[in-house]
Amino acid sequence: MPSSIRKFGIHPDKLLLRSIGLFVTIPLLLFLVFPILIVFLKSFQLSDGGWGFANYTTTMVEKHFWVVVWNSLWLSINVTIVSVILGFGFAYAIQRSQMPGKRWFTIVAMLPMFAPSLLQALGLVFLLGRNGIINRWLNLDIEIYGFWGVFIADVIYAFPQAYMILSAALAVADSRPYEAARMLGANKRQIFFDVTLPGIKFGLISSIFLVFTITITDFGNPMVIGGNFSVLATEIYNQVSGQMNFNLGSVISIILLIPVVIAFTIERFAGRKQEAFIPDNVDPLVPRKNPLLDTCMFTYSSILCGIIVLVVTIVVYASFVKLWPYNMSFTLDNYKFDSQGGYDPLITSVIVSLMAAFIGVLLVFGSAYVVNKCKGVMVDLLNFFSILPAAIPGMVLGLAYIFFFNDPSNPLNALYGTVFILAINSVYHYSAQGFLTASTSLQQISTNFDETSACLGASLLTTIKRVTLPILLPSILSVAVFFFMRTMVTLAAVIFLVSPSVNLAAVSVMLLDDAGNTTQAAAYSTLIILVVLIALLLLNILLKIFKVKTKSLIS
Amino acid sequence: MYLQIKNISKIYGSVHAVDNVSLDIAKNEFVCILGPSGCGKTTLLRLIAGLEDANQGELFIGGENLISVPAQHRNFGIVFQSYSLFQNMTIAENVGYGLSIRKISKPQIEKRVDELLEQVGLTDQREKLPHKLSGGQQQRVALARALAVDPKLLLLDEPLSALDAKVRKTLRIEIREVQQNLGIPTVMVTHDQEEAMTMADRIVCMKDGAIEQVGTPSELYNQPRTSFVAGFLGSMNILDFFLGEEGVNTLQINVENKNDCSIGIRPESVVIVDGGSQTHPNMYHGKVIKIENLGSISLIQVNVHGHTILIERFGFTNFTIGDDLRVQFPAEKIISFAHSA
Repeated sequence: MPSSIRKFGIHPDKLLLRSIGLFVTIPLLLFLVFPILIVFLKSFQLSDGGWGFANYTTTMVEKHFWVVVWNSLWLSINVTIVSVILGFGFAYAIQRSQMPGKRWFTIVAMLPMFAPSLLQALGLVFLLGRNGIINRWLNLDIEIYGFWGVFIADVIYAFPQAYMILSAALAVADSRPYEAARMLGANKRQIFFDVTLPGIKFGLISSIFLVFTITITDFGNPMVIGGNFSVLATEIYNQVSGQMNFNLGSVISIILLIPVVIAFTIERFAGRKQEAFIPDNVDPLVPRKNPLLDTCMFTYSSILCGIIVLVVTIVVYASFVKLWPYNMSFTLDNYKFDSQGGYDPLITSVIVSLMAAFIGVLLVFGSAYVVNKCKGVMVDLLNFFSILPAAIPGMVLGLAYIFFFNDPSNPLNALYGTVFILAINSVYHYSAQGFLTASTSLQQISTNFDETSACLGASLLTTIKRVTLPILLPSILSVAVFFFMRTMVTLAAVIFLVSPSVNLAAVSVMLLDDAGNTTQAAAYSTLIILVVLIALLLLNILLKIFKVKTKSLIS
Repeated sequence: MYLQIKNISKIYGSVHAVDNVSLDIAKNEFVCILGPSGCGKTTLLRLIAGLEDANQGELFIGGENLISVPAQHRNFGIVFQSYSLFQNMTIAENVGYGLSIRKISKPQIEKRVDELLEQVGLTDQREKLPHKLSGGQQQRVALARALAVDPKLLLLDEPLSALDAKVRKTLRIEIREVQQNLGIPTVMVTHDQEEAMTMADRIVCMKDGAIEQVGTPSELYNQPRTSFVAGFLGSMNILDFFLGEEGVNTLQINVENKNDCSIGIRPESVVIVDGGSQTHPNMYHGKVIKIENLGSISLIQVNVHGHTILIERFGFTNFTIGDDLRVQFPAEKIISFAHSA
């Protein structure tokens, strides 16, 4: 073998790593770092062109502003407490009881993730709104618009995400500490507080901060069912879309960033300790039959899943109704979509989602690979900026894109209003989760594989092609479907970037609902769920073909 | 010498993981690098493999300096503790991987793979995926994969440490046999002195990044150069205090006793004097304080003038704790070695 390769400067393996690094860093700067910086700058730019804190001071003297801040915090804290408790109970039922029908329960619990966040709100309006089934049938006068509506909708929206984290935390359990505690004479309550809870401490912290973040940044639910109950996310939209007040929009964006960044930092800090040593030879905990517990858990799960099914079903049902609530006869008319561009937004959404899946996989696996294989300050920065999007609300990212790409002096201005900008926006909005999944899968591949391959004469490129990629394939597929799914349902970030010619399905749902076409909005939501379910089905078939069992983001 | 390592060093920050090590290895030779964890033995192996860049030093094989050649072009075989078989490939594909990278024709690869699988006794597992195999079988496949490319040097990084005791014993004989049959120079890293003693032609005992002693297993055991080597390979009773401690008979020794040296005796060389009141040279009174019966041998700890002496005897012992006995340190069995830093 020639040892001469080194004489020509850089070794091809190092060149390959650097190229990958460059390939992921340039878009990261262009489509994440720079736009976010612009939001910061804009918040200090005054209407007369000067610079200063005036935007902040004028915002903060208004009483309305503090009402909105309080609304956001109060709502998020309540939603967090309730959905984490509900999610824990459900995760416990799935992982630690022997109740029947677990498989079905887990599928149903995921349903809210397969639709735009405003689906819950839409369902609640059909159920409990002025013209909702319950008020109509029972002749009641329940007022759902406002705090309670948003609260219930957000709990349903956040519940699956809390459940997923806690379920994963409860799943990795070693039976031995439980047996040891039993042998030492601990009763069930003591075991729960001394073994179970400490074991999922970090999962619990993670779920609390995740739920808080997605609630305080949620836009769809407060938009549909908030009524006069205004939160920070809707306030940004009102300032920008309603009053064209971009600089105030950026001030509120920065203020929205504060609680999210705090939550993000604490979560990261706690998460770091989570990577504790889990022994290879775990003796997995198998829940024992316990008729009383199993019955309670079954009842509990049935009620929770019943509510979710009800909310989703009512939307699907409403989509086939002639004139809610006056003429409830069956029709397909709602699927004709006479306004808002008909089926075009749905097709655009599928195209954008496919692009996001493709670009997303390339970027997050590229970054994860470089972060895993290299060391140094640049790599630490890449790592930081790859996780950062978890702390950036969709509204803020969307606003950042307007500022950055809608500026005629920016050479990238041509991208504004294209499907590409929508796809890349969605990629960076959700890249943190994708990156963390990619990183975890890469870490699970022992470095010994690379070293063995190198000793057998393989170049890095050969090793990637023949060893790394085949092992990563299941997680690549899962991440692709994750990006596809999120892009299909995302609303907050893209709301600022769509135009009448390039519109997205989730935005259509909101616009249809805004225009009073609630049944058509329901029909559009139903189609989005359908597309996402088809994508998930395809993923499962593909994974079956590759005969791999995998823990993924989604299933 | 076939392989020559000259003044090789690896420094991480302020830690000298491998500190100016030189070592020669002959063709056909099996060398074990032995030492406690953190002594730099694995780093030394990785430097030889080219998986770490050396801060200084040279590595010659057959006169060619390979120090700046990346692992990929060194043509060495390596086997890790964690098997590291490619989970996405069958056993045959794993073994043939190195050959396929060298663009060898399919039929030739198949032939070579069959040959190697037969050698490690896994012909019937050919088409299986690695996770279907036991640890011992996986490690045999890893060995076959490393040997498939006719490596110039075989490197083994604690290849037996993840296996259970029975498999470990059979596999160490198998590895040694394969190595002898192929006559391939081999460097193995281990922290297990028994493994080193049974497999190696020569043992390199390392401490704190430097070599303490190089020699045959018998040389290291019977003539340890330092107290570290003496204590790391087997046990050693230190007898320094019998030289001139007040109220104790002075020990008679055959070896030279320098100031910076210790003297000691292996547990199996200590004699327990039976009955009678006859006196012997180097005989002392003691009291049994602890007994461990291991089946084929027993270990007896005896308190002699306030110092604990370990004695090894065949089979179960009849002594019980508290028994008085007399021990003798035969002068010809007492050895001398330098203090380790």
